[in-house]
Amino acid sequence: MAVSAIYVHIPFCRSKCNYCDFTSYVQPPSCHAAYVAALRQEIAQWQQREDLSAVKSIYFGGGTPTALKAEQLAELLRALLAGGAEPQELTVEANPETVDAAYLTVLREAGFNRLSLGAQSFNAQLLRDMGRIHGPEKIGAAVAAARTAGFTNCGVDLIYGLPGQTLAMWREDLAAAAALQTEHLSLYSLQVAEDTPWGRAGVAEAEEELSAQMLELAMDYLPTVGLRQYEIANFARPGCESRHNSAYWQRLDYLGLGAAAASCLGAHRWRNTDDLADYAAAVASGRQPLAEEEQLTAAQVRGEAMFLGLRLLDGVDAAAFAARYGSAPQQIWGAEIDELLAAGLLVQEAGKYRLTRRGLLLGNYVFEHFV
Amino acid sequence: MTDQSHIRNFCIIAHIDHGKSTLADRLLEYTGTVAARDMSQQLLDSMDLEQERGITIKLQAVRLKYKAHDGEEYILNLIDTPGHVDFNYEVSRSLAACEGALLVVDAAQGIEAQTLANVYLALEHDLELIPVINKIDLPGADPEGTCEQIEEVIGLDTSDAIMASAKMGIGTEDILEAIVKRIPPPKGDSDKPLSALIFDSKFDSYRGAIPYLRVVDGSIRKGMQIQMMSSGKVMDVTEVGVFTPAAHPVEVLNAGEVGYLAAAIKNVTDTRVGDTVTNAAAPAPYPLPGYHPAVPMVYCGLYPVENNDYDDLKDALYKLQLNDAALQFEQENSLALGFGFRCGFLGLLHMEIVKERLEREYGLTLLITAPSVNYRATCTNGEVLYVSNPSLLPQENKLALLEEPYVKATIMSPSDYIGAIMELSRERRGEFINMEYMTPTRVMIVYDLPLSEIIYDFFDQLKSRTRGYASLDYELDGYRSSELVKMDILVNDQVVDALSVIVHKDVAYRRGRALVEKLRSLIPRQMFEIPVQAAVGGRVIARESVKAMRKDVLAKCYGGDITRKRKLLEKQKEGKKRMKQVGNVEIPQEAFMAVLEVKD
Repeated sequence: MAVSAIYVHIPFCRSKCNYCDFTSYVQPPSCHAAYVAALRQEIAQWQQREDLSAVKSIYFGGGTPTALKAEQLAELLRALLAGGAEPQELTVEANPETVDAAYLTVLREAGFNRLSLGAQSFNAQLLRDMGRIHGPEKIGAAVAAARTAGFTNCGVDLIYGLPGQTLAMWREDLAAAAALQTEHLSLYSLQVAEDTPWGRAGVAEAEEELSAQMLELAMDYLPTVGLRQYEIANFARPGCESRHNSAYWQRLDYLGLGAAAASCLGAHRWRNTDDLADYAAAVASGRQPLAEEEQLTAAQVRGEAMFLGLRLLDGVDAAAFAARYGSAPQQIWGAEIDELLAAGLLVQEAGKYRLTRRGLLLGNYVFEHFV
Repeated sequence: MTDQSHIRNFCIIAHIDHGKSTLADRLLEYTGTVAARDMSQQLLDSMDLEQERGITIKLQAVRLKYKAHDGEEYILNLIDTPGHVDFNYEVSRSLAACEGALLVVDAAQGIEAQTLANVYLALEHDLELIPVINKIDLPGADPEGTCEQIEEVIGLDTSDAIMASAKMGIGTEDILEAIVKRIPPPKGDSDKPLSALIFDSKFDSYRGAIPYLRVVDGSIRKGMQIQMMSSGKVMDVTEVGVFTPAAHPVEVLNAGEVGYLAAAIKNVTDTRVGDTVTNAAAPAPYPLPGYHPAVPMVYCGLYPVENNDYDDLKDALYKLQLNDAALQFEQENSLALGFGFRCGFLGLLHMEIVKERLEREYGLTLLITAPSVNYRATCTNGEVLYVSNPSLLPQENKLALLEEPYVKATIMSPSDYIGAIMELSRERRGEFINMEYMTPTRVMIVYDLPLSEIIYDFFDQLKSRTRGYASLDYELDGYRSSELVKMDILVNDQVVDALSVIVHKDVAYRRGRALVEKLRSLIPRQMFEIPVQAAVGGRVIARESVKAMRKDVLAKCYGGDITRKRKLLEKQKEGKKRMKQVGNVEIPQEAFMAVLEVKD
């Protein structure tokens, strides 16, 4: 199978947020050039190793990609497209305070056609608590700037289950996000990782019941404003579902470039080192900057395909699964599927398995049956 | 043959971490018993072996040869002692095999309660105590203060205490000289009939159970027919020897000497610690004093989490028992847990050690039920039953009398803590018997206490309420009738027999409330709501519920890092495998021990 998606990791931020456990460093812009150069080398090496002409989506994530200069992002994208690929979706993540119309125009002209804004909340107090360096007003301004620059496909990310956040506050955040009329909305339940300021301070995650109500509220409200849930955490206007993220759920081949980026080609998964110096040194000497890699067994591949596929509300097509992996789900997990059907977590309709409303909230419980 | 005037038998009394093994290593090195360069190598080897073969190999007794300043060569036998109240009896037998002891105290830490308990045992056996102030090289060391403390707390003269640092090798020679000069030689009579004390034993796959002995009177040699005085069993000696520290056969062990014998003994239960070995042809008139068979104090159910592992658990228990005469077990059956074993232990530490060894050395995943004592139930038809499994207690209307084991507990402590000790003992239903001042600042307090109150956290509480200074010893002291009731626990409306406990009537309500609350926090949410109830005599006295699972879903897959997500799911699934499926509810192992963590 040919590589269908490319992820590029930009591990820089202007400041670190209290909940964040991703690979990202706060460094002066003068340090960014070396990383961009290393990334260009890695891009060139992969263009030698693999045929990238069938790539359908490119996604620049972080960190904060827009911590770089617009021209640096444009340069990287041009390098990627030099391989002859004609992707339909080219996304860049941005933090609201980092972009204006001029900056975004450079990106749009370089070929980016989708903007994903890390809003997280529209509540000034919650934003401060998270350690965000933008206020709520910057989010609307960033969307407006994106429209001016010609982005017709914009998305916003929100976090729920924040410390001190009530159901009423969450309702306000959802309404504020809907009012921006973006094409896409991602909702992430706060997870407090140990090695973060919040983790070290012992900040608790939201109580299970409240967190459940928050997700249910979103599932009930967002369709009324035209945003359909197509994945456990993702909502979009019809036709604006993220192709790039869908590639993960459909277990297509993807390549991750840059520090800490993860890749999957068939049964082979690997992740790059998150150390910038190691990354640059490895790339400079022509080696893959590996941190870890694994070769999955056929059973692991099937298990992943099932639990990733079930995240999509469209579900897993039994016949397509059988065609791709050799056996139908019912043959592999007969007892497990029967149990989940009986428990009302899974339904089987028109040859497809999909999660019920309760199954969506208890995804992990369902997925465990397939790993 | 070494005459007794050139033999010294001693042990080392020390708190954990106060440097006992380092000091033993120095003595072995200094006397050339083990070359310095082989030292770590050798200890490492024996630890590997211990793990590989699943048996404990310790330096239980080792013979050192030492040429003293007086120009004479002496045999010094160093005898090891365990260090926990569960094993007090074993300690007392080791001490009975010695004439003297090194009292090792950390110059920075001072005396600890554990040390004191053994000091008092040593004094009971009239042992000569040599104070050794260790770790004097440490920055925080306070040798004078430590000496003062020893004088004050124990009443031991420290004017000739030895200043040492086992780590740096300081004081080693002084210690060896003091052993020779101050510890009296044995005073046995080699011409009398044989009496030898068994102070430990181990199991060797080739030679069977090997008792470790101190010959008190007479002598023992290969080919002799011996008799165990407690059981009357007769056996032929195939080998006698000493530890150098490797087993080294000798012709004969005479009065005063320490060594081992082999006699193709199949089971360690035939080599009871404390038993007396005598000559079957010319037996000693009396056994040596102080023997009693190991009596289990605490019982619990031991079950495999996977029912298929039952046979493996059975094999493992039999193998472990070969090396641990105090471990008892018999098969039992639980409605909730399936087939398992009711096991008897010397105490909670012993119980934990056995469980740990079964899991680590035999690769089993086990579930342990709450510990219980052995109750005595007299039924209305006159039948008397001993019940160590609460779920087997006859129904209330069939019970004429219910009694629980009591112990006589002796607590020694600085007098400052009298109030705290009395308060604790009263809380645990203790009956005050006696208090005596040993010195103006030290007291001995005796209480009769229900054993069930002692086995939980009494020792820990005692230590924490007396800042570690009190020591505890206890012995079984018969049965007394008590107002006890059986409390059942219902999970999802089903009685889980393995969770039943026997409690005093007065605390049943409070303990029931606390227990169901604890269980609610320990049983993870499942697909449906699970009521958890405590009931006495069919009447529910406390109720909680574990709410149904509401939300459990991975956030997102940033940058496609699926590996991490899959591993998380695998780990979550693995965690469930460690839980026991009871009916349609998954109960984690900790739930069965919850009663231990419940405070009144």
